[in-house]
Amino acid sequence: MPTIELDHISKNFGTPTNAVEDLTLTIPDSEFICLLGPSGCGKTTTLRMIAGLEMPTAGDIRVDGHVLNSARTGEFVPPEKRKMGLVFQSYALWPHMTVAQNIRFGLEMQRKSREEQNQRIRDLVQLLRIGGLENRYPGELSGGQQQRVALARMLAISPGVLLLDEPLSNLDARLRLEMRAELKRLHEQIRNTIVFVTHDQLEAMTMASQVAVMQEGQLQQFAPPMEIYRQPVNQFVAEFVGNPPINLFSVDDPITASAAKSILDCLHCHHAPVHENIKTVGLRPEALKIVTPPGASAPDAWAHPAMVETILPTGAEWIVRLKVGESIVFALIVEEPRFRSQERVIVTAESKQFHFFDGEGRRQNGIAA
Amino acid sequence: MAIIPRTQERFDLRTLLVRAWHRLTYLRYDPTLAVAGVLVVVLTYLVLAPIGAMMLDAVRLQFRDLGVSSVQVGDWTTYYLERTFASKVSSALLWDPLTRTLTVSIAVSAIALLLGALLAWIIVRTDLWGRRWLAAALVIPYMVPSWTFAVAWLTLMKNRRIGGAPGFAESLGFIPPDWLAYGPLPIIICETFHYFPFAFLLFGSALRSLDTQLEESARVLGAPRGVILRRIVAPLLLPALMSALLLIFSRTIGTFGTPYMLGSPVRYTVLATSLYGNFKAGSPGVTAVIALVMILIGVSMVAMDTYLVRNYRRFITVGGKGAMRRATPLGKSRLPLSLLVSLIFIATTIVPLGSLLLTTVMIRPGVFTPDNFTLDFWLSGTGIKIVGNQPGLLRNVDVLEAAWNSVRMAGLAALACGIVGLFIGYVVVRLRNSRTSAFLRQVSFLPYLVPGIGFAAAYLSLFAVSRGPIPALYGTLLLVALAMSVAYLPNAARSGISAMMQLGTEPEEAAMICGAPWHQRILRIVIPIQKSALMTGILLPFITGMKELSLVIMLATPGTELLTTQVLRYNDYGYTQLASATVLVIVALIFTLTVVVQRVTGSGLVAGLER
Repeated sequence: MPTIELDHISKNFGTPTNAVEDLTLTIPDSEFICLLGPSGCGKTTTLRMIAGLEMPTAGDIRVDGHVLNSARTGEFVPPEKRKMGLVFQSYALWPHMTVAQNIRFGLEMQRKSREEQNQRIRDLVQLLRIGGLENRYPGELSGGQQQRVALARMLAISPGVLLLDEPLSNLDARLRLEMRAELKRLHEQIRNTIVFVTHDQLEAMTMASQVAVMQEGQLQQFAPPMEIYRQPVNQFVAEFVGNPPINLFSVDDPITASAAKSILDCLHCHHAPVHENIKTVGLRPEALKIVTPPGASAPDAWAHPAMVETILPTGAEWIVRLKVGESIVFALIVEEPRFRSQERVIVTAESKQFHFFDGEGRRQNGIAA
Repeated sequence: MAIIPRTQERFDLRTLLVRAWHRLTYLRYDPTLAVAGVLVVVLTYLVLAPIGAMMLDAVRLQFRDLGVSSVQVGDWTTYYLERTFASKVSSALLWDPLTRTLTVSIAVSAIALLLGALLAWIIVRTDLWGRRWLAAALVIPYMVPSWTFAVAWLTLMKNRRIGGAPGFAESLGFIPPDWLAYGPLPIIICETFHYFPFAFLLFGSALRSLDTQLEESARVLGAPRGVILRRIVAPLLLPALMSALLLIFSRTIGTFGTPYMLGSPVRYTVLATSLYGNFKAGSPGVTAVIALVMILIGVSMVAMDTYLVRNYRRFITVGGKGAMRRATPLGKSRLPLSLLVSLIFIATTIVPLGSLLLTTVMIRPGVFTPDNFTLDFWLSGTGIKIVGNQPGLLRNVDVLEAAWNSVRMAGLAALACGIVGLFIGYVVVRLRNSRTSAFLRQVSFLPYLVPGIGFAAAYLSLFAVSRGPIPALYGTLLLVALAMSVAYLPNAARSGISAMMQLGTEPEEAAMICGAPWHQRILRIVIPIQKSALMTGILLPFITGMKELSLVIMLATPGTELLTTQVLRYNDYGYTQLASATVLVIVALIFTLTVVVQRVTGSGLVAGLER
């Protein structure tokens, strides 16, 4: 199974800024990789370049050391010779062909015998659990079924790499959950490399073995999901991953400055001096504890009076919006709150829970050595 | 999909060769760029070159005018410009026709718009009796050729000033004065009859797409109906109104048949007929200048429309559900209004077509005695004396040949148009954001700005003489088909582009990944999916081609008559019955084809006519 190397890839569509900017990424064999980022960050373009539907403006794409694309020499391996399958966001099923015909098309192109085609279609229909739909047209299928057919169509050509462009974005919430599990099952069953693109951080967290976070065409961080969550390399990644989003306090922002200073001062008095260049402090909502006075907090924890603004129960947990000084913060709690809105409380957080960023948004270790 | 990227690095020869080789490989794999190249060349030659040639005609001395100034044939001269714009004859050549054209166009667009808008509101928003049926019936006048009404008018209102069978009015004892029979009044009436359904269609669809929630919000806030109409509905529909106004205006500028038939007897010359007259008189220089003036008017109309649409962007609303639409009850005025609308239908459809039909079965039109009725004009195998010894229409070799020519040429043009339109759409969408794509989009739209007769003049400028390997095409049917296919390209290209836009590139890319080579992708994916768009793209130009007059009047010669030019010929000779019968044949063909289109597309008719 193949390892895909992107070597200093850039792509320009004739606009002043590059859609993808100097991207270097090695996608290891048999992994489930996710390209995560907000819309317009170049993740779909990256996927299409891997598939061979776009030519990079600069850089090379290699698979197991063989060049697929080289902007320098113009070398180009056409999509069908790359042994890759691409499932489009819109599925792009051919509306004038039945399910079976859609799946058969790629096999015909590979000049497989009729028996082989039929056998392969039977296998795929079973694998993707779309039995009985073979003679329907795409227009007669539900979104989830279309999704499965699109997958089957691409799996038919036995690709070593499966590329998925926002595979779940057109499904409703329930189906999405189901297909997430389904895709993971599929990956465990066929063990090929999967690269999928999404803007939904939850999808990336739940499915991928490694996540590549992108912003404005540039790779921000490439790491396993939990590492992305726990050790974001910069402020953008910290903000993009996690819902509700991370609370950020910046010393330069007049609204959050007082909270930021309070946190830094608190750390100051408990520990060795804090780095000079720390400008922003981040705190995940679930790391923020709410105690009703006179509650006790850990001795080295930061504590600050706050005012509860609203409580949003989601069923399993509660999202609490509070005001700490001037700044709005979110907390995520799993125990039923013993306070009401407009009540005064104390928020507290352990010092090791804080994330620190410098003026450029880069992660800092916070505590000086 | 990718174009081979441009990089600014420098390369040695070897690298360049390697790159060139890879590019060739790539082009074989994805020939979109090659197709684009072919389209660019073809469009440049068939759209830009004729207009360029005509511009040159306007400023370079032609052989026949040698001696009017000191310069030689082919040299630069301002002779034609001066002659047209500032000489003793320029008021006859340009200024009077221009004034008349503007008068007619302003009157027609204003009346047609008012009538169309009112009818649209009554039919879309009230409980008028038979409104569904009327909505379809009122479109008929726009389906038939615009000069149908002129022919019909003549059968009813002509007087002894022109020859041929007498009019109904005369036979019934009323001899219409010249001002009623010919000139501006009948021209305006006849053109209005043809163009009001256009306003009706545009306005009706705007009204239908208007989100009723916008009105309901105002009602909930306590606005009375008048205020809602004035402050919510009217401003929202203003763009559609302006758009309809400008489109009708620019179309009437180029209308040839009606002013030719109704204006010529009293020498009421408009731009289109002045252009034709100068062409007949063998003056290509002046013809070119007049054509350019017409093009200029057309361009400024469309420019204004684009400007308005852009500025009214804030009014474009997201279509709502509109499910809760309640028809405004008309109450007491329901019956009279229903009758009035039916009367409009009768006046604009039944009367003209009926009078044409009656004319073809009467020896002396308007005389209702049994011995005056005959089917000879349709069926007689021998020559009929009063129409110059021509046999009955259905046994007339000339007519049959003209019909065959019409079908062949319109068919050929439509086929070319539909296919080229789809490929333009394909290339524009595949090469999105490239300069090639923008070029193809704009140049394929260009003929839209040029009135048919002006376009014909441009085609004659380029193709009347042999140039390089291309022989002179004047007098051949090929030239007719060529001009038609290019003239109808804007609509075909636009529908091709929108069909391909809707489809996007992904279905084809999916086939690419499955390993389908280009011809397989086109034949097995793109064309089957776009089948109905392609059929519409062929059938609509075919219908337009069947009723085309202003474009072909200068290109058709006695050897290459079409049905429409045959009508004009019969009209010129005064063979009233044959002219009427030929019109009816055209109308029957158009109706049949329209039914076919509706079968093919579900309900393509109205959508097709709106463009």
